[in-house]
Amino acid sequence: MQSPDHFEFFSQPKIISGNKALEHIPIELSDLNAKKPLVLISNSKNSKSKNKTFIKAMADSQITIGAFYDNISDVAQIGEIRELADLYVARGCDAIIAIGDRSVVHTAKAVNIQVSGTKDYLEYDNESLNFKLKPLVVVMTETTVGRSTSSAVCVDHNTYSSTTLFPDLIVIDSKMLMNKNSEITIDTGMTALTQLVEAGSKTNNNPMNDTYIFSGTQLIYENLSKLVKKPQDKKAAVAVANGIAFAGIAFSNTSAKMTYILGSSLSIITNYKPAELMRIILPYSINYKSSNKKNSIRPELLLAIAGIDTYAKTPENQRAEKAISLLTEFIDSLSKGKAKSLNELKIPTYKLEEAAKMAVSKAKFDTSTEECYQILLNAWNGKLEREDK
Amino acid sequence: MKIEQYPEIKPGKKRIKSTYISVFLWITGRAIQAAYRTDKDIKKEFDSLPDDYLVNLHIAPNGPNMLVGKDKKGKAKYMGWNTKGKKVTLDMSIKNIEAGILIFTFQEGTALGFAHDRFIVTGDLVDAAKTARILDLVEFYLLPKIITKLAVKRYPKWSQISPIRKYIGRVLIYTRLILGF
Repeated sequence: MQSPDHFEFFSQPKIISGNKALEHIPIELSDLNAKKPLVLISNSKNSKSKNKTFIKAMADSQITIGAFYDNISDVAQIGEIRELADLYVARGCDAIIAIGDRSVVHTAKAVNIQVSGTKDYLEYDNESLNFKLKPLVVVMTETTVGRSTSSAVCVDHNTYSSTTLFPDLIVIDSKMLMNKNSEITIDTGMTALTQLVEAGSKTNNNPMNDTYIFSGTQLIYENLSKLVKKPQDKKAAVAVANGIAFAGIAFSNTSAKMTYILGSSLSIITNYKPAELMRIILPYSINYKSSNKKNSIRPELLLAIAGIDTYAKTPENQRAEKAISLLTEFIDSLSKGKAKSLNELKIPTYKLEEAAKMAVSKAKFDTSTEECYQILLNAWNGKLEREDK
Repeated sequence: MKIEQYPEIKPGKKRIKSTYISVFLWITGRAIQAAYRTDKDIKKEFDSLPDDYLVNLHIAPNGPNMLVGKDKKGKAKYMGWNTKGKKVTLDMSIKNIEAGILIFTFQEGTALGFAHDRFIVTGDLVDAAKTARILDLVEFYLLPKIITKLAVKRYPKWSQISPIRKYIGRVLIYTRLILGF
């Protein structure tokens, strides 16, 4: 385990996970001096049954739901945020509960900034966001991705992070993880795995973040395939959701975000889902790192994904290599019937160059535009460097 | 957006579950009082509690409640559900009604309930541990083995409590519970 001379780690959310976790929200809100939340939920196929489940879980408590808004757009938009802030104020709410996917959580965070501050949302950035926000609860559903539990907010494709943006409470209850669509499971799981593997591939990591990274990786690696095969498996659904929550927290505490940002940038340019692109790019990114940057893929990754027996049996100098090969096999097993290269998605190579430039301009990482382009080109060709060697 | 389209919602009540827990707590409270007069281990455990001991086992935020304390002679007494005017020394609150149902229908034992963070205990931890032990013994007397095993951490062996003592104790506790002496 790496132990740097200095590190900083911050995680605000309390996580409540398991049977009847949803019913714990009223008492947790009461601890946060709140009893009238504004509830936001994504407008999905089964949102009506989720609405009912949620309201039923709040029964016999002192909670009054200020308003139940179930018409959130696919992307958080400033107009909607201002309207929701007005609704929050008109009803005298004192907390926000976000149920569902990324757009709901980002909208909730932006509404929170709007109602907690004195200025308009657009006038704030990560530096001016230095005041206490209202309590925010995130209830995870099958569509919640790791970014939702992180310290980031994204409105109209503009993203920034601040430690005050972490939710106060993350609730994971199998009742809200009803999913019959394995596509969604793979997408959310792969996005989280990308975040975790990326965060773990930093050469100078801290032990606190490692705890989240390796626990999250293990939860997803052990349970994602089970959940894809049997979507009704409540235990696996809760385990994967925990992994996703951990991914968001680990991702907020690392600067290693290359694959994630490459996937997001290419998604903006090509309109393909970021999760699908990350699933394709991740093996090539890991491969590139292991071939070109010494110690970037750490041996501890093998312990997380294969367990203590395999870890102990594998010679020390082969552990990272073994972890990469297991991870690549795992991603392959989830890619049956899906595109395995960017070429199969018919993405022209000039768009790769644009995506590489956009990614480097978006975030500071120790990889150049040329290197990013090379990774995307490898993913386009569908050939791993190790195969070439 | 029309604000009226999104009205305030006041979540309802779970009356059946609440009634079940009220009845369960009423029986348990009276059973503790009866068991104190019947079983020497329960008496010994209860006597070691402070003189002003009064436990309030309840569901947050509005009950049902069960108050059991010591009377003027130091004997165990079920004191109903109303906390008004009473000085509670040990508050054992179950966080919500669903958690209460899990515990009082024995889907989760008391120990597992604590491990799952279903309780908030305010007061002396030693008194809380003693109270948990008393509750375990009372459940042992009241319920058949197959159910008690779900509720308690360890079911007492024959060498600890013989079947004769168990069945005689059970009859006496139920009789006293019904007649209230």
